[in-house]
Amino acid sequence: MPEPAPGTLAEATPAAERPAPTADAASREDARPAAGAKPSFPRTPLVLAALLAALLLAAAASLLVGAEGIALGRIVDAVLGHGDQQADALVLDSRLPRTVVAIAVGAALGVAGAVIQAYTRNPLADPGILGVNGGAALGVTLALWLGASTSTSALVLPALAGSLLATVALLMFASAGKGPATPVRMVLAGVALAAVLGGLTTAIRLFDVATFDGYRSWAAGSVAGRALTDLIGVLPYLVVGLLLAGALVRPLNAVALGEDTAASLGVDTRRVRLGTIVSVTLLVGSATAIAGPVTFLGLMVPHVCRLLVGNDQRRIIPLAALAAPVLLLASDILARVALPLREMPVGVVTAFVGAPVLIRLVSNRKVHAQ
Amino acid sequence: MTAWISAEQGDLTVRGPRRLRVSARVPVRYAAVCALLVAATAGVTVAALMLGKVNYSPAQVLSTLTGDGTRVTELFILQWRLPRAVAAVVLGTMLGVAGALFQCITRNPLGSPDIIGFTAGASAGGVAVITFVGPGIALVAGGALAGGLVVTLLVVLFARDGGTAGFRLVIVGIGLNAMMVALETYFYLIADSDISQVAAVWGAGSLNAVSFSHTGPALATGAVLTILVCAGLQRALPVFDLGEDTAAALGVRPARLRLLLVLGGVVLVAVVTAAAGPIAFVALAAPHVGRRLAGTYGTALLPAACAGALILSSADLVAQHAVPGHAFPVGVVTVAVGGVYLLSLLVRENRKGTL
Repeated sequence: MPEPAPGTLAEATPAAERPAPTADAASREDARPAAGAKPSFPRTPLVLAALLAALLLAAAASLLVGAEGIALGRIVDAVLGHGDQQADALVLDSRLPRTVVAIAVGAALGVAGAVIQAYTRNPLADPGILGVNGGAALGVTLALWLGASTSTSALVLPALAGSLLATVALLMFASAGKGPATPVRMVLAGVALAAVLGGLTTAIRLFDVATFDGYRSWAAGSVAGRALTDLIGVLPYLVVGLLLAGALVRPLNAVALGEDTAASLGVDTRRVRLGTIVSVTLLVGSATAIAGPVTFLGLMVPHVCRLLVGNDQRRIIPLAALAAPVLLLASDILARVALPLREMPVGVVTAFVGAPVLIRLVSNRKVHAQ
Repeated sequence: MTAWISAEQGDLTVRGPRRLRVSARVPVRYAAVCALLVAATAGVTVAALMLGKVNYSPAQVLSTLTGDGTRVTELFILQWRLPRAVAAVVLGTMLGVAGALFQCITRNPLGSPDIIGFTAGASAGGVAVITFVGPGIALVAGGALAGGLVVTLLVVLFARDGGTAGFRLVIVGIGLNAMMVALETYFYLIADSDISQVAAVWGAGSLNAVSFSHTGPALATGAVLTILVCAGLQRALPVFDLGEDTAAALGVRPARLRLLLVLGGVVLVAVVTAAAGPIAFVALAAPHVGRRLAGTYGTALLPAACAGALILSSADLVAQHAVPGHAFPVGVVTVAVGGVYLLSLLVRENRKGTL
């Protein structure tokens, strides 16, 4: 069997085509400030290219790596549509859907993290830490208990409802006090919220054996064992959430100066708030409905992006949609090979990678500035 | 022989026999709150003994407890229900005291073993031992102690620049907490499914498996330890609360005391975790509840202990009987209720802007 050049492999990977529109949008956004007075981060195109390359590499690796060793050539044949039966089964039915789902889930969680960090002006914010995932998990568990099937399309609406509840509760908390809630206070509130939601979820799960089994197959599966039809069920919500996040980038830049300043700059802060709630709900709810609770991805990615391209949401949010899938794919590959006989939920890997990042971040004085 | 109590200016003065030269002066509210909490705990305990597949009247419970029961009531009440009820009270007391000690060391109202990662570390350690070695209680206790100690050390190490009072401690704890939970999931996955089941039941924090023969030694050790800790530290704590410099000036050796506090808190939580698995949030809530009810400032061990006993025994009663025919692990109830409490605490502090 002939070994093709790596370039052909990358071009032939359909998974890599998905984020292309986002990437285009990012480069267009980038072209405008560059034409202005002073391009503050001229390396943005470079970063963009590097991230795209990393995404292609990660997607290719995701097709290659797994418990079953299989020659590169056979994988390429399968992707191109003339593979043998075993390669077809392995690549088309298992690894390809998994890769595509990981890219979609990663993009959703990365963008949700960037939006929530920008809106709350909280560098420690993450849909998982703040309990939004927990809300979605509770919604799914309730639906399973009430007899919903375990298909993603049946679970997406309960997951959305749960994450909406958690997002609203959290933002209500954030605005309850005098002045903005400090990052640390919000994280604590999120931990408490996640604890309550998790306790309820566990109680329902233990209460009903059928729910327990359904939950296990949903939560433990992570991005594995998902079919492309699962993704199609949540795709509309994901796309709307991403588009909404895209529409929010400019107002969020203004909100970074404080709500009052943003309002005086002509930003309708109530609409930004509503947009943030809806966007985060849609993104986190649908991502959780497919992949189960994945934490820390939304925490890490925006920081990486800020480090690379500076503090401008017009660059951060599109780049988060590229960087998060890379990280999730890498975590997923690690989750496949870390155990000898079975796979780990990808959330375990992201938690293990992400928690040190949280600890590192909190060492930063700026977090305590308020 | 001439122990007596007198009340003056809102304080109760308690004097022991003259030869022992023991006396204490406590505010009336403090004493009343403790007495009320103890009474409530006793009520909950009697309720726990009454309720079950067969319900008994309070009179039947009391007569059985005093040794006049029938063979059937002795089986149900003394053999089956009493160990669990006693365990709830003893473990709750221990958690309350441990929580107060942790909050005193960290000088942080949220510095409970749950938040700073000790519980998660103990839990991961215990699950690791069950997975790789076996489910013997002494081994699991050792694993839980080691895990808890390691994680606590790491938290303190990572947070040292911010000082233990800072919220950096809390966030670092949350981060390590998440890692420990991930590690635990990993252990569950690599274990055989029957071992994994044992570990999962333990990991949820449950009093279902409590019996005198199994958990008796742990309970007895715990009770003795709690009394020792309370008696030994009761007087030094208010001084320690004033700050280490002041405490040193007043004749307390802060370094030694801090070590004792850490040891006491860690050992208490480890014993609880070994006996019943990680039971979350009791150690966080009990000292707050006790302090607010008793109206004290600073660390108050006795109200915390009483509140802990009441919280855990009530939570276990709810866990057993909230849904007929299903006994939940008590940890599920304490997580949900404790989380609500923590939220309300944060909202209140947020309004005041003091946090």
